[in-house]
Amino acid sequence: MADVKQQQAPQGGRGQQPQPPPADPKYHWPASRALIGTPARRLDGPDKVTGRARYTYDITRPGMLYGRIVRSPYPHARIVSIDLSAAQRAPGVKAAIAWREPADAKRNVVMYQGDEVAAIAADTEEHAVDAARLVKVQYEQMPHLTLVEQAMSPDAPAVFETGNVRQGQAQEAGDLAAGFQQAAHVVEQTYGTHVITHVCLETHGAVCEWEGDRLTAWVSTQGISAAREGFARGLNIPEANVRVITQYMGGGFGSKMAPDAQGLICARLAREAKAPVKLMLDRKEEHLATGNRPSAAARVKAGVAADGTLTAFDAESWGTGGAGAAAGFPLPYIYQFPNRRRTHKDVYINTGQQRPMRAPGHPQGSFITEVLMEELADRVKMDPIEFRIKNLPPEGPNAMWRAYLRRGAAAFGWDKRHATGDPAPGPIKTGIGVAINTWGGGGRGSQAHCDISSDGVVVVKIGTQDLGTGTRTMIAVVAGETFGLPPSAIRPEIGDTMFPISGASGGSTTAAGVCPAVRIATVNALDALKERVAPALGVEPAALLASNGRLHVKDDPSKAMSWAEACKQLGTQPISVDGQWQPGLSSVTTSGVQFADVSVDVETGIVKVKRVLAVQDCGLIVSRLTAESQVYGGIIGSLNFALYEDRVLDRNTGQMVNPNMEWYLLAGMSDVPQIDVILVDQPERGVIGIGEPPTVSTAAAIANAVRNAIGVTVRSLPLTPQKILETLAQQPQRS
Amino acid sequence: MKPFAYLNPTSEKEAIGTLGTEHGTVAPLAGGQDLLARMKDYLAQPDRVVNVKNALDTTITSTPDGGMKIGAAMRIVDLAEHAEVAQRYPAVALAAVEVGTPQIRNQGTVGGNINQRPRCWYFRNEEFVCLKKGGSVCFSVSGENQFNAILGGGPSFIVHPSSLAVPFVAYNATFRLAGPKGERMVRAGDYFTLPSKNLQTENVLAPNELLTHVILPAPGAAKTGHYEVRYKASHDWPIAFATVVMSMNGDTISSARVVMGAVAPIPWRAEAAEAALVGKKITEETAAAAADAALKGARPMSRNAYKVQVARTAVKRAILRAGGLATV
Amino acid sequence: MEALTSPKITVGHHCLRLRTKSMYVAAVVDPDEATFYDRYEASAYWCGHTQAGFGPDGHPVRPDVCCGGRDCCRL
Repeated sequence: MADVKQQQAPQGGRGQQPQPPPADPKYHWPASRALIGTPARRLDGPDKVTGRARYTYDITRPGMLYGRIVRSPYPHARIVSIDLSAAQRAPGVKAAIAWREPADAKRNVVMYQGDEVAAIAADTEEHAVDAARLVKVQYEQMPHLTLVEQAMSPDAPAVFETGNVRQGQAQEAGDLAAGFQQAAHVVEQTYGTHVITHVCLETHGAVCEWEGDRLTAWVSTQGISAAREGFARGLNIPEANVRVITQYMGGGFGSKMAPDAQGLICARLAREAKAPVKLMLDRKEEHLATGNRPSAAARVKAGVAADGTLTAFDAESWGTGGAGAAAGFPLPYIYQFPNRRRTHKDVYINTGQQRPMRAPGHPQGSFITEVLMEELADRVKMDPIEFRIKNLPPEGPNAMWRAYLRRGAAAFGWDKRHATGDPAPGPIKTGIGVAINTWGGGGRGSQAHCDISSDGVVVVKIGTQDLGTGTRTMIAVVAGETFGLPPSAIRPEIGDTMFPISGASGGSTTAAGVCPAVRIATVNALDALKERVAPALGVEPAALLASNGRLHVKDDPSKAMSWAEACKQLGTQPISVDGQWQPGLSSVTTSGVQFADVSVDVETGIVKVKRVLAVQDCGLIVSRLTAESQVYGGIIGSLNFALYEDRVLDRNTGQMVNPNMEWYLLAGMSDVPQIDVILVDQPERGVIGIGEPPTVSTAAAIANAVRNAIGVTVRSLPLTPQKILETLAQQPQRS
Repeated sequence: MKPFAYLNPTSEKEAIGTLGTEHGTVAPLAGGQDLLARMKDYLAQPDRVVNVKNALDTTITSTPDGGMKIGAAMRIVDLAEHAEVAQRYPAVALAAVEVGTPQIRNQGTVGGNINQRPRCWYFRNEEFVCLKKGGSVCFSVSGENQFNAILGGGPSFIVHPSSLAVPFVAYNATFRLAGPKGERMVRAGDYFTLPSKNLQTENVLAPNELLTHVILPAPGAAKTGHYEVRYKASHDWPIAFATVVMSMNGDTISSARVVMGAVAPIPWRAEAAEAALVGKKITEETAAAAADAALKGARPMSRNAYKVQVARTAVKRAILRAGGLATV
Repeated sequence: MEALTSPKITVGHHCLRLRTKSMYVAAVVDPDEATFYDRYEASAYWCGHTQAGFGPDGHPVRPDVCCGGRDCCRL
């Protein structure tokens, strides 16, 4: 496909953020906040650590069977036949289905190792696993693509109908030639990141139970209403016939937006067997078939003027999202190159497809850009922080990197940084590095319901779900703030499509969608309560305030009722009101900066991360502890991306060699550094999510710290001992 | 998992009586940290599983000649925490404490650690019918060999997975094997077999024998050093590690045993390194020269050349540790 | 809740079964984003009917190929 040149608006010039009409002032976040922003303890922490919290994995139903999927061992093959008979005769088997049709040319090709072929339901998990192995599938192997370089070669077999490579449009801005003319130095290098998988601690899966034509599905999902819609579409039944429940789930990271094939298979097995079926994937299936973060690579030529101003950026980039999926990422990332050009190719190989993974595209764009920035800073002999500050977009509430770089540098001890290459004698070299991040997010449209009964119990119902971020705690903090009650007095009910709808938890949108809806529902509920209580206190409802567990008269605090007393006035008629998200209580776009301190053993290539500091904003901080937890988790995830995780495919057979948690490396406790978090509160902006941003830039900060330590640049992830030693052997070490 | 008969003998003799004469059909079960995983993955499909935890010795005792005798059913955690072992055979204690995770050390046994099957990802994935599983190729040769052997010459390029075997060879331990015809004593250094001699298993243990004891000779005044390089600090397999045991004559090394782990299909004794040490004082230069000698015969493949450097560092640092000269 | 659709999908042009995350996630776009980086396509797509990244015809699901021309397309 020919390049189509497309002019882009030049970078720079700060637009105003969308400022929607504000919600009624009575809904605004209070100027003085008793709970919001405090380190409230995680409401469901005790349930989780004691095992009372029931995840999808923990659900059992009377007469429940266990499902198991037969998957292709080959990366590309035609299914010649599927023989279920031996499996059907195996002990405990109640249903066996083919998920492919060998006779139908459109339904008999598997495109990756792990592609679904058939399925079994049996009375025990062990019987299901054993029986699945008795399904006889005859495959005719077809040419496959495993390596990106191989897929990009003109000699590669044509595996994908529309081509193995999808060439994107060229994007251009400014005048590239002029930009390079202004450059005093040019860096020309190739950078890359690898494929990793989501490794959700709770695997994907569901428990499906039919009652006539109605389906109840307990699903490990980050979008209960998304999963409901998916079941309805995939099973061709009305959405109203589907109820999805997710009380607790063990991580999704973007990969649990839909029921997926395993959800439909589970429902189908349950229908065939006329019994509830649990179908949870195992770790190997998880690695193969439930998504991954695409690889990214870029051949970059970048110019910088003698004074450190970036002048030009020219890149060809590519990446693979697996069998026929996109692999785009932002490039350059945040820093301002006035003259630039970029062309991108998606490369298709025979593996499971990518799925959104915590800040899709950003960690890749961050790594490539930030390592390049470090090389450019050295060319003009500038301090990396000053160099970055010189080339940032204009500052604004959504673009605070300058302030955070300075604040973080002071807190981290940046002044102790040595020039590139630790001059210390001995094999252990230390270094520090920095990288920045941004994420949009937003969130809107959520609806919530609030009940207050005469026993004083406050229930907040909202059809959101807890991805593990602490949604219940956040809801209780917001509701508690409104009612002047502690979070423990609030009963948040979530994770059920019977509740008012809220969006899927993705793109860091949950907090910004849910908090305004809960705020509005609870203010409405408090208004209703005031109406009912005011006569007993002999005042107008508007004269009442709720704080410290009491309803009292604004100008005469001695005229008051305790919360319990006030609620008794409700008698047999509870308060039951709704609230809907309105603009003005939430916003979009965060900025953050991260610093890393590492040591590298140049005789073994082992990298140890000693300390990471994050300076991160997220608008109004609602629940401080859970917000900090998001930063911790994001940093640990990105450390894994930098050093450990790697989906390794056998280059010859196209099969994954490490579909486990033994050779697919993940940091353990001893590998996690000291993590310091400076959360910046921006109450005037309202609520913004923080799930994604902290995981964007740790890997780049670590890579830059490694470069600062060893004096040579490793331009691809992960930073394995193999790669560190090979790079050291190839490049003369600078002192 | 294939159905199997489960036997629970309570004596060594009884246990041996339950074993078969063919590899794989009867599987002794100790801590189960290897066997159960292989059974669940259908890599092992024994007809009979024999629990040997009640049949074999779980204790450690002193021998008349001043050595120690370790029961094969002793848990790794008990070995790691044994004060006398740590004092007299520090490399054994250091190796034990590096095994797996606290859970694995609490469950796993000394015998199981020695006899576990390879951890090579080709061996462990059912899709790959490799040489060791009766196939015709070692997939690592043209495949993903970053963790495979740099020594040993093939034709299979697994690395031996045991952490304890390396110091046992270095201390010149003897393994007691018990079979239907009685016991036999085999030097640790002679117990493990190269793939060129034996593809089916990794040692000389017959299907109807059990490894019952590891007997360590008196350590004398030997200087010991142990150094393990692994990627992660928590739960990971080493990239390379080494144990060095040196007898001294004053400041001079009179004899040395240098053994490397995770570099070959067996614990790899580096005789060239030993020769390079004898007659020398322990210095940085001596250590570096011995380390170079240890890896001289290494034949890395496409992606594991870095292991040569890692193993060299492990040997050098083990020697320096033995000499009290370690800086890292 | 308002009907959630994706700005990446055009009704009448793309298959009605085409699915992507932004159809379920109620994000807000900050116009300043264009100052921080140029446009890029990182989205994963799937088919609502198969609940997989491949359509009923076995081929990958993407906006550029799920817009008529395939037997399984539902415009």
